[in-house]
Amino acid sequence: MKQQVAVEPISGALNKHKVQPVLVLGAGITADYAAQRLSSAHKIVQIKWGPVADLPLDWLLKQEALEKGRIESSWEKIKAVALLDWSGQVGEYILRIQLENGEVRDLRGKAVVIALDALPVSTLAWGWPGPANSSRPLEETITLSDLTTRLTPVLASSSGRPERDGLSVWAAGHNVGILLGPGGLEAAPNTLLAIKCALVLKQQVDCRVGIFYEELAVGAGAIEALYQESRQAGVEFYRYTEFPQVIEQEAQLRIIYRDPSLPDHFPPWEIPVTLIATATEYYPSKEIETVATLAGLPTGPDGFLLSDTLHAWGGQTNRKGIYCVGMARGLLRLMDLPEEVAGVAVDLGQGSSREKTLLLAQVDPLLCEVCLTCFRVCPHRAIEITDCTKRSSHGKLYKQAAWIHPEACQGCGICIAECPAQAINGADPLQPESKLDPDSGWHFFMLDNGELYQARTREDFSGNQGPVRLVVLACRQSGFLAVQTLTRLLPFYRPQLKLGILAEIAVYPVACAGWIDDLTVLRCLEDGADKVLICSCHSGACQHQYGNHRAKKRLRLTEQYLQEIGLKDRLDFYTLAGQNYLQWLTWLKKIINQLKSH
Amino acid sequence: MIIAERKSITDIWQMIEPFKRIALIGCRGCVTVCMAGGAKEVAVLAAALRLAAHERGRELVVFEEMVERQCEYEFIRPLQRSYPQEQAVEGLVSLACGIGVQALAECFPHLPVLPGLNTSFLGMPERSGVWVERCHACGQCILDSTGAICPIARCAKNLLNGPCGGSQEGMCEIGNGVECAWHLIYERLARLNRLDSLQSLALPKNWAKDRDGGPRRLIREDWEDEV
Repeated sequence: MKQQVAVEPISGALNKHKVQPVLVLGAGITADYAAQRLSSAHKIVQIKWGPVADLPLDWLLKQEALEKGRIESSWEKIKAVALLDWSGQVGEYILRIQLENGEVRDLRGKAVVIALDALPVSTLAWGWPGPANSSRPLEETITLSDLTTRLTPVLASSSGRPERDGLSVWAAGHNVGILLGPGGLEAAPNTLLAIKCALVLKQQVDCRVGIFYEELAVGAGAIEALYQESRQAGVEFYRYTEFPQVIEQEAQLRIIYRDPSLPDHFPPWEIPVTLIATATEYYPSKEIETVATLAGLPTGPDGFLLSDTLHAWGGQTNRKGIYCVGMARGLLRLMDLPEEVAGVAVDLGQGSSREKTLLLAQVDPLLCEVCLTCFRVCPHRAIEITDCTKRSSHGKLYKQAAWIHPEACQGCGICIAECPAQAINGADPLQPESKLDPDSGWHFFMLDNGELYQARTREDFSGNQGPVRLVVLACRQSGFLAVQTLTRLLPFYRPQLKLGILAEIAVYPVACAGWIDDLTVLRCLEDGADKVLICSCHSGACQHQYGNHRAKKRLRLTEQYLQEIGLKDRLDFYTLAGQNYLQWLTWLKKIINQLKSH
Repeated sequence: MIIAERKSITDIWQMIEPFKRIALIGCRGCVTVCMAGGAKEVAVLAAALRLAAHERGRELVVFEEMVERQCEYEFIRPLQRSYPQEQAVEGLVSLACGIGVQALAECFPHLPVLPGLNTSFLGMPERSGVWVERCHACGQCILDSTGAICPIARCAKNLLNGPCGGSQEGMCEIGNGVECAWHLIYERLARLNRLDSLQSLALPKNWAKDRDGGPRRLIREDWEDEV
């Protein structure tokens, strides 16, 4: 645990620290691009650390994305051999790095942009596709990036006056085989390069070109159109299930290809080639792992940073002031690099583009028992353990207390639910405003005809108590959005309807299902609810990483608790997305019918 | 830190059966940190008991109180002012360790005091949500010779001279994910280049300083109250 001195609460942390630079972490194409873009408005310190990808950005990105902006501020580059520590918060992050000469230095920045390249592993380096019967290095095998380098003058000339001198030396009349590695959508940049190269070779140089692939990622970007164009131009596509072999026969390279659509007893095809270009595979580097550990960012199942986080768009991460762009999230993200960097620029300019948090958690230092629960559980690393002088005068055993950085807090309320000392406060959604407004929850009636009606005013609600009472605690990101949609579709309740009220349903928004604890559920039941319903986001779709999971685990225990005291079927959990309002309505009706029949 | 866990609601329910007015007394010390008897647990248990009483149509009033550390008379005494008379409450349920329960009972001679927790062991969180035993309070620490890994608390047999035959690939035969303490000791001493300290034979331990010598008492004469 790091000991840090309490910082005064600051607002607009990013803006207040204008003098501080933005730290860009990475040595490769992603970092260079990001630093270049951001330097038009911010002082940049680029920490050159990590692998360098061998991919031509000018082939992958749209022309307008490549136009260089004017560098307004300074752009300092520091070469580092290691990242030793990562401390601080939004407004002032401190990265401790080791320089080449062994010197250790602390770099401060108002924000950090992680722009690490992924680790390139050439298929040539695996000893493949060298022919099995030849040990000599093959001049005829090059990487896809090398091929683009050689074709760049051709591509440049294709837009203007056709100029074919220079390329005939090596390319005219070639039979070119482009080998893409296994993998689908995530390999989109390689697919794009392969198709672009094939088109140039076919149309400008008049080669025979074949692309060997397992799955062609045509879904991403504008690849589909190029794919169609290349097919029409005569580029051959070979889908494999078994990686093709390469042999050398009579000084001629041959690709041994087995067509997966043919029966097994058919002999494989031998396709003679004069040049083989192989795509480079990209893996998460150990630098990505280091950053994930030190900065507290999650990695996806593939080992890339935040690769399975739905809500981290435009380069945002789970921590304010830390951004992650390009390949550190996987090879595919390289295609979105301009948009991500633009998102970072906007976020940096505004202080924070995120909505104002609805709930700001605060620790009462005199109640805090420094159990570290919140410190460990916070998905945004917003909690610090700080010295608290106030405590010693109150007979407290420990001199320290948890403190929530108001700028870093993203208002999920997970810590509020977890705190065993009830020392953390936040807005209580169970105490709604006196008037019925979207922020304080919505109220519905189910009438005897089985239809749902909205309560127009609070009086409607308090005067009419139906036999079945439900409390719905719905996550603002999912369940509450669904209810919001419903309120536009459902009619208002009118006493003139002269129908009995079967059930009343109160829906309260919560910042995140992670805010809901056993006490909340018990209090709702104590207040007379027949059943408490929790609506959270789908697994893996929580804006706060694991708020829905924590809630689910916690409430499974609450269910046991309720069973112990003899209450059965008083709690239910439903995962949904914001647009699933009809499913939600069906579910709600089913539950009311169950309760009615009891 | 003292690690404890809540008794089952059924047990607590049976204990409070005779009473109509009870107070749950939590502790802000160890049991808050191990999530057994802090303010949250007191509130949850109180709500659960009230609900259970409501379901069964039984009259039950539950008060909730917190004490800074239930093992100190000074922290408990303010409570005496809240519940001065027998009429105020009929029983107290302590959500502290066994020490807290007894200290509370000493401060409330006229009231039944009931334990709401089972005191488990002296330990620490290994990771979030998992607590492990680390000290047996044997009264005579030998951690200097065992590479700062306690074979008394962490070996199922309290062995003093190396592992038994139940040590398999670093794990103890009792299972439950318990690591063999002597395996850990060997590995640590090997790393520290101090394996030679295992050459000397540990003589039988003086268990008189453990519980076997009867209830223990520690006196610091310089601090002992004159009165």
